[in-house]
Amino acid sequence: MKILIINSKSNFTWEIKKYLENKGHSVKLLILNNFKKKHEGKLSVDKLLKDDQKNNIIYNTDLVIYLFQFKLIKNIKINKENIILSTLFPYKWCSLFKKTKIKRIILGSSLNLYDKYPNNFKIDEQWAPVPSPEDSSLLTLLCENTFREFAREGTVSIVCLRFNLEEIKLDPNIAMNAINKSILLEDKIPGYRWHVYNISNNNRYETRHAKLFLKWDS
Amino acid sequence: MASIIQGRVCILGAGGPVGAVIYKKFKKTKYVLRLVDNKPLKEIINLQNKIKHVPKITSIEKPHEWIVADISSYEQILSVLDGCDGVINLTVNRDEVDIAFEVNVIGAFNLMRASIEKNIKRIIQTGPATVHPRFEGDYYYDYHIPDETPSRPGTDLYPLTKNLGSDIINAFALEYPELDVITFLLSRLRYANRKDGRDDDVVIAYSTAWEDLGEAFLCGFKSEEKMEANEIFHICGNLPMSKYNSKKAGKLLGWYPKHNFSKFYSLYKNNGR
Repeated sequence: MKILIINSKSNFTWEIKKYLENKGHSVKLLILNNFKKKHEGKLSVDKLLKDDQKNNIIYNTDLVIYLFQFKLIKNIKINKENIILSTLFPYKWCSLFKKTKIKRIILGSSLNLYDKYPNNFKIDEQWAPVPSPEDSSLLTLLCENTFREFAREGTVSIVCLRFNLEEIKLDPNIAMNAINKSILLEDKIPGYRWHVYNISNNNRYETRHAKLFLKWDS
Repeated sequence: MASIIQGRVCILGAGGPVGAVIYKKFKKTKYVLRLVDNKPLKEIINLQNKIKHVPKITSIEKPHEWIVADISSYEQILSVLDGCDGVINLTVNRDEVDIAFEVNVIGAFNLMRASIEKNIKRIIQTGPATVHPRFEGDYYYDYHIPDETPSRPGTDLYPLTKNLGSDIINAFALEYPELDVITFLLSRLRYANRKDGRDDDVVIAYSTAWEDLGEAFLCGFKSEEKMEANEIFHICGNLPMSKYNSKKAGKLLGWYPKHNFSKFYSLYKNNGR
């Protein structure tokens, strides 16, 4: 399968590339950096859309792994720029994926949506996200909800994997296994194209569904 | 929540027809309006004159005032909310991708931050009732749809961005319960008895009469009843097809629309058949 990974610069990006290539996939990376200037992130997508008509980065892709939101999860302060990167940025990407008829997106998301629940609660995907307007959990929600609507509309199947970033930094295999299983996941129910799984070895997060439906091995 | 029966109310995005309706309804009350738009009043009047079948602003009388400001600028919104008791957010961009995100998403974020800073007592957010999408999982073929039904905006720019704005407003409303936030969902707005050719003069299930709308915003400030951090209301006529209704707005806000567009679907009354 021809896979495109979109992320900011990180060791994890290279590790997942190597991992998926060992599974027989052809993997391209799109590393997005330098978002210091106002709206540079947004503009870089516009530029990419133009450039891509020349070099076919996206047009020649079967599946996209979108990990860029990881950049915005690490207790980052919410501001205009980060909201743009969590909403308009995914909107433009998804619009492009829709145009290029990409059938599957794997979205790297975060378990920080549940941070406001008491620590002694065991939480599965049926628990409603409780984002805080003061931290990046709101950015996580906005990003997920942007992707979700593209899945709902039916042009693409999206697997949203909620990770604990600190945990996968220590053990990337937790995430890599989940991503690989997401590539293989079949859409068995017609019309149902938005899949959400908690991916963690922490007892706080119930991962029964990931094990049952995604066949994730913790 | 405490009712607000007088004071200064800021209308963001006042340059549209909903702003015109609110101005007409509020101008002789105890509220003083600060009407805010990103265009000067003269330009708004010229623009509105080109549009048929909608309420229009023709002038602003003192003590009410018109201020030019852009909701996508936090500093500007902070400035216009100074001294206000309540705010109504009517701002929207429907067509231009970058600006729609700036106005509908960033604007919501700026509004909530500025409202905390300026101790705003009541916020009325407006947004679209997502009645039109056509995809699996929408509510197009459902009936008796309640006010709190989760939004299904799809990927159309306008409903999607307004929905993301609502996500932001919900998060703030939960975190800061001292902000009294309510949301009015709107869709087709038209005069109760004037056929204007829109939708081939077939009334859609979620329709609100211009003649009823201003009263809803007045009720929104006077009401003391609220159960949720961001209380969502259908603001529509109670049409006989029973797809949407505004009974919750009647119960909690005391708003009862007088018009149900019977002229549009009654066969025998007016045409003699």
